[in-house]
Amino acid sequence: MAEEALSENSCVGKKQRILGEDILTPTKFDPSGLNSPASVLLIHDEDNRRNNKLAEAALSNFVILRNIFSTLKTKDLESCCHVSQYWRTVADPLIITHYDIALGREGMGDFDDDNYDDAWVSDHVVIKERARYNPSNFREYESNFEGISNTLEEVLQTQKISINLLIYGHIDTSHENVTRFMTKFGSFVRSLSFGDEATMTIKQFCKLVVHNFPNLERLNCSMIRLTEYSTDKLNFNLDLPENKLHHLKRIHFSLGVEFKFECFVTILKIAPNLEEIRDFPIQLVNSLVITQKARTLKSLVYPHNEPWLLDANGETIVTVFEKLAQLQPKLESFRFVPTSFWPVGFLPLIKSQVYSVLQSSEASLKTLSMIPSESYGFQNTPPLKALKAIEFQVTGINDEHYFPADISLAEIFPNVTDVSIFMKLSENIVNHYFPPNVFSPWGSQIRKLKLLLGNCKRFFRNWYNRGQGWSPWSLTLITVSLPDLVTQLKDPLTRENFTSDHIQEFRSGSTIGKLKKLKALKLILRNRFLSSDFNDKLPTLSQVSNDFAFSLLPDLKVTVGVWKNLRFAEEIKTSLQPLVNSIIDVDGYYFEDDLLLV
Amino acid sequence: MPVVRLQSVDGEVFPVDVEIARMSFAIRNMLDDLGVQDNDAEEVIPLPNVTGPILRKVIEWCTHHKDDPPPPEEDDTREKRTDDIPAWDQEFLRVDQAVLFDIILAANYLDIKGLLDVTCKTVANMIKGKTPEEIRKLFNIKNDFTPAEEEQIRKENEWCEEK
Repeated sequence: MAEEALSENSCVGKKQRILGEDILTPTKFDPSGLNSPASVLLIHDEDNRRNNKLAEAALSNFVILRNIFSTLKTKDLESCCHVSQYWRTVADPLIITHYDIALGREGMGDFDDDNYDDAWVSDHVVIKERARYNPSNFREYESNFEGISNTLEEVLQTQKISINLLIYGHIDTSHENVTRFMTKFGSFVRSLSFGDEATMTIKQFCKLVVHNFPNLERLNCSMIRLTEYSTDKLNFNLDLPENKLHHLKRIHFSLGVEFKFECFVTILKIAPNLEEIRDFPIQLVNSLVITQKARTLKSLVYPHNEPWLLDANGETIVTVFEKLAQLQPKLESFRFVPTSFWPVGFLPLIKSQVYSVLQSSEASLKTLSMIPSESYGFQNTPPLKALKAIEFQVTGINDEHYFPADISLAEIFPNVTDVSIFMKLSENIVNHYFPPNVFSPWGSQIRKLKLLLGNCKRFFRNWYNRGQGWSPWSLTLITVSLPDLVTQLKDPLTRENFTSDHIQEFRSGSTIGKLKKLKALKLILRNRFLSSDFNDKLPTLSQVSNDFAFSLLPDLKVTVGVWKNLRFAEEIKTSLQPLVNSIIDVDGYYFEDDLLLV
Repeated sequence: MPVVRLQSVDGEVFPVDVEIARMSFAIRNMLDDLGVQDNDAEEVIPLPNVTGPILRKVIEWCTHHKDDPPPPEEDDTREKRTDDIPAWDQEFLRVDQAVLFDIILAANYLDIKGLLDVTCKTVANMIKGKTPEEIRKLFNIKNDFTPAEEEQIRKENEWCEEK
């Protein structure tokens, strides 16, 4: 039959176009490509255009290009890197072996020069070696400077390398091992960050990075305690062209920031080609005013770990927001979650500035973390069309903050599909934060939802159930208290007392069962104070959930992540096994919350 | 043998053995999603991204390889070869460049791993041993590097050339 398909007579429909005649007739084209440039030029214009169009379509497709490159050896891949920007992004990962190298040991703490004589500590190196495209495919091992140097030298015989360097504590650049490592491999360092706290003057810091890491592309400025000693006699001229990091494209912050804005001005000056600053701590805003680098500001975080550093920089929350608003940043991500020790009444003071930042970021803002408050000036904000994800947080601030009842979230956030809620709500104030008449109409556009356990029941009710009935899912896996009704329904004996209509009514009251489009549910269980009572009830809980919620959603894939240090972790896994599609171990920080829905 | 009818973008309809059609994971998924049974011979599967002549070539390749063992799973650590293209495939792919890329696009769209691999290997053979400029000419690719970027890449690769 297939052979029939290949014959002219078997085709039904339009006659084959002239194009097909080319195909079935072998041409002079040489697949080896040896004579290709000349032969391609011989094709007449129309064919040439079609040829170019198809080649462009195929060779700009990542899957196809990666497949082609996967068969090439390093030398040819290097040629491919030179062809075009896009080819480089695809070819580079195939010839570069990435190393995450940590110098020193976590918990070394803050060394001062007088006490720094722990040579053995400075010789400790942890290596994570990643291969090709798959970042989860890595091997991790410990070594010392000599060991890692030998390893890297060997790898460099056949491959390119890229190093992400993490330095714990103070680094003694005069130490023989350190000097050798930096001299040989510093130029391969593309990303630099610090663990613990490294203390140095700003000049020392600049000299360290400029002299040792000339090809640095990404710098994490957290965990460095920089000072501006006027007595610094270091012979290092920051203004010389050779003392610049020309390849530094990205500066970001992850944790606390232990320096004033003047130090960041210096860092910005040695990065003439900087393209982006991520998770910028707002207290350093003056540095952007001075250096006029506001265009590089892509994401902003308030607070970082040290909100009190506002004072150290001579700022107040009002002054920093005034400066920020004047800069008219085009943020991609804006995280502004006032802390619990904010004075009452502060939020309204900066309402116009926050509104101004949102307005200037109208076309660029993709993620927003906020407290559900009217103090962001949403009533006047133009639609944030680029915004895809919103995270709601609350930190105990005493101001009245909730969405006003007269706004339409669908108009302000027309394209948001991902919502996270990281806040604990008491029963009696939930409607203040998420008034059903504001949130319910918006709920239909949400595709991904991340919640804390304690909120689920109320949340589902507000957005999807509008307070009608209760959800067995909520009652079982959320409040961890089984009402008699559920127990009786579960028990085959007592279950006989219910009519099929009763059971159907019960099942139709399942909130999660109403989410007909729900395809994936990930539950992360991570409360280490779970009682044995919870564990006892789990088998029943899972069965009830299956009977009255999940069975209504046959396509639903349920994954449960169990925090690996959880009490009763193994028992929980066993109990949930019949309910879910997969169970995974979750590593990470401890959270008080019982359950996180993702 | 049960048959499924594949319709190209230009309206040609090809009756094809279901087992051969199912070598395409895209068609396999369509058949599964549509719940098409083996005896649903009248069911027409539209393939809006593939022209008739290319679909004919794809079917020809699949028919020839219908008894091949399934291709191995992807393994990033395993080095792939390009000198192992079977003689029949080499002859099959003696086509002009436009057709070759058209087949690659169709193999990618239809998710036929074996055909995609062999066509990509053919393109890889065309790239081998060529300079960046020769590659650009061969595929008419625009050089979008600035002089500074080219200098940077050259410096990055210096260590390799010095070895």
